[in-house]
Amino acid sequence: MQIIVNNVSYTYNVNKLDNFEALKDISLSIEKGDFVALVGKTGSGKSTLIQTFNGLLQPTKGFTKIDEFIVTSDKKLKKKIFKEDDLIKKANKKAFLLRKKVGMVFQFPEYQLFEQTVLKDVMFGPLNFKVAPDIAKQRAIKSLNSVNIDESYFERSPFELSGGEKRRVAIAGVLASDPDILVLDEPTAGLDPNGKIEIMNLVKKIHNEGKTIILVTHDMDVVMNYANKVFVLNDSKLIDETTPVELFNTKDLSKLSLEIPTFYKVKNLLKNKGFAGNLEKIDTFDQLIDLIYEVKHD
Amino acid sequence: MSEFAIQVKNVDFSYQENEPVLNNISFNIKKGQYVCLIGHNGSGKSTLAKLLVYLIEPMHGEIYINDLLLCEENTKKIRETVGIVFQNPDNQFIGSTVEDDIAFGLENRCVAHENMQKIVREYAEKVDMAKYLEKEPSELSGGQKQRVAIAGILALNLDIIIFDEATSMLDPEGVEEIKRLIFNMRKANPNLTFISITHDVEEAYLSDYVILLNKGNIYKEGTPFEVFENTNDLAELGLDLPFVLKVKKALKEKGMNIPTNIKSIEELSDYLCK
Amino acid sequence: MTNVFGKYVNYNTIIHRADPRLKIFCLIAFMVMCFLPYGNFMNTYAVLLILVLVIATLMIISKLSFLDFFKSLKFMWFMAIFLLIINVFIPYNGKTDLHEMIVFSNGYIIYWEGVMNTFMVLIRLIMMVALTMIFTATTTPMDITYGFEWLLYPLKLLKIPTQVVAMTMSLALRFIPTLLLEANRIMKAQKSRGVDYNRGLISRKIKSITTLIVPLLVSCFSISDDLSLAMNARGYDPYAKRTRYRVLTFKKADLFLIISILILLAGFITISVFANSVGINLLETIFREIPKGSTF
Repeated sequence: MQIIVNNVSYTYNVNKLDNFEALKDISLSIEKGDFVALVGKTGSGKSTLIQTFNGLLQPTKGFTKIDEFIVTSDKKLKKKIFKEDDLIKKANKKAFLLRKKVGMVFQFPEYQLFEQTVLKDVMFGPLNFKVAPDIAKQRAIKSLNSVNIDESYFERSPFELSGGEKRRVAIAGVLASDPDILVLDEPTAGLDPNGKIEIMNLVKKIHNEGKTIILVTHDMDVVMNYANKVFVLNDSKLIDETTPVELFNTKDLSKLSLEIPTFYKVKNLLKNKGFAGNLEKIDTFDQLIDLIYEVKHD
Repeated sequence: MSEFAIQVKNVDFSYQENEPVLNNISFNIKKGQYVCLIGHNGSGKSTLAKLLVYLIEPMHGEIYINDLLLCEENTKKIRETVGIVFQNPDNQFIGSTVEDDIAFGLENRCVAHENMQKIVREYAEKVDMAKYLEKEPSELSGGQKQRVAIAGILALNLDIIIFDEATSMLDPEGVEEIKRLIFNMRKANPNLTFISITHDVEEAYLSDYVILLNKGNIYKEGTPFEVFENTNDLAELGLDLPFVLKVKKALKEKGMNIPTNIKSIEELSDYLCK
Repeated sequence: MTNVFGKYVNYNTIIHRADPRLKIFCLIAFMVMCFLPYGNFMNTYAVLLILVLVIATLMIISKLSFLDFFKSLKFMWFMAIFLLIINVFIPYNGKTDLHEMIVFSNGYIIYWEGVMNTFMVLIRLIMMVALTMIFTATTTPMDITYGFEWLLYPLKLLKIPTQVVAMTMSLALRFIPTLLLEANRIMKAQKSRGVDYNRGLISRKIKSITTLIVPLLVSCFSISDDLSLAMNARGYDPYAKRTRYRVLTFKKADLFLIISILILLAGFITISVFANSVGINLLETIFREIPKGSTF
């Protein structure tokens, strides 16, 4: 297991009157090479959970384990784990390397750009993680290439670019640190359909290179088309661990305030209105078309 | 009085020289219609919206709203005719609380204080925000903030309302809320001309009239049927096909025809289950 | 409720309900009372004690948490030490009748007067902080701007557009929380790219700060761009006449407040004049049995 979330709770403003428990006793695990979607309505705790993956937030109870890194604010627990495993203890002495291992792309990442040139901005991450400047540059160029930013842009100011280009540069800035795990929070928000497809294809490509992808999204079409595992959060709790097909076929999504992809809306409508074909095993658009043709073409 | 709410005649616009954003655009919008302006990012949609509410001026050409030429002298009348709701819920929240924000436009219009209280309350109720009158924007969700912005526009009792991607930064719940609100708004006032700038082809497919922009030009305009059924290159223009149309096209390739009057997924499923 | 210093806390107390214009006037009046000279140390401390009690009462009435107040005084430490150094180490040349506190072996003397002076200034500053906190915690930002705009009214006669100043102020107050959130977001993104805002050498720290400041400025510009469009679209003209959604009206309770503050102010001015010009120890005139200068 690459990521283990063990009985994690997180409370904002501990010891204050307006404290708020954003995560309640969550346990889950993610394997290397998974493409995971975290879904749930706004305020369900998704964003809080992913921030424990790179130590931006430390669980108030329980711990998150990412490979050999342990994230928790429970000192007793930490001590106990370190006592049991010397390797873990050693690794955690360089805790800042966790941020290199877990690349984090926040919502509207274009707002993190600050350097004079695109190339410098993308090199910023690796340089922070003590990568030698020439290697950092190589990696920056490689990741800019992979997000389809043309070489003529490298020496331009990031603020001159269009919205979609800025976002791709920002993602390149995270990729350049060569993370093993890439966490993305609503990467397609505010983009037009083409921009969405472009970003999601990029994510897919990164996944194919063997990286673990964790995606927080409201867009169920994205979940349906890309993820292989889905975690559903509701009211700070993990309420389901499933696959996209199972999620859309068998769960009552409206109860979770999740949007149903149009494909499944149509499937449900047909089922309820007594469509004359067997819809059980129909999970792609092409299958649906074939079935409709079969049943209705005479 | 003509039958048109908006007339755009040969309008050009550019922010920088030699980089035209809009190129010789002309179109008319009939009163009381629900019109969708669609196109990819950078096609000039938002610029067009700003032109229609006279936040910027065309380089060439003329724009009329309700037969009123958009120009400096008419600014006050323009503001009494057309209003706009922008994309970013936070950046258009002007007042420090919900009630102050709804009142902002009324204050500018010099509505008497005694009436203002009543109007603010009335429209807060219409967008279901009456419970939150004293809340600050930081205590509200994106959808709630957009509802406040809508109340602020509705309170001005305008003839034409433009939504410039008003739902694109909201979560699905927020989008649903706004869609419901649009429906109620149009039902309550059938004379309202409503222009939605959007990426949502499903929404456009169900509207009265669609204008498809591409690279600063009008690529196609007409009823949704005309625009969608006869355009084969929507994907290249950066747009999806509406789901029903996708089904129709896929079946047509196999040699099976679905009647053209079927537009929504409900109608489609009814037809298929007959 | 955690109270960030200066943040409005929504309770319904008599102070919350009071007219903001009046509250601004009270704020100024209290500050005057704090800084009036009250003669020798004994007198001053006695009068300041009364003021502290009055202000503490006001804090209780307006339901402010004393804990939050003391927390917000953290930044005063630096000031206190600075004041102490200045007051203690300036030589009191030519002054007689001083009281020695510590005499160093090299002949340098620290006087009681220096220490007493420091505490006096410190108490006054803390009272100022408390007063401002009471004001901002009981008055909505909108009301503060309205109050100031009204007080700035005379400037209108000099053709200064006070309504523009007020609008600018209210927008600034409105967007502080938004920008704080934004800054938080940016910091998280940069931390994820390996920035450490807490550690590092000065040069590295400067770089860390730019990673926050530049994006923050960029979003400031984009906010103001959007905002000006939104205001314009809703018919805002900075120089045109506008009506007001919120109208300030004087209530009966306000009249009571203004009378009490005026009496209070008059009382303290009298004490000040009396204690200074007559040149007698106020306390001594009240309690004759206290021997002169026994402690100070």
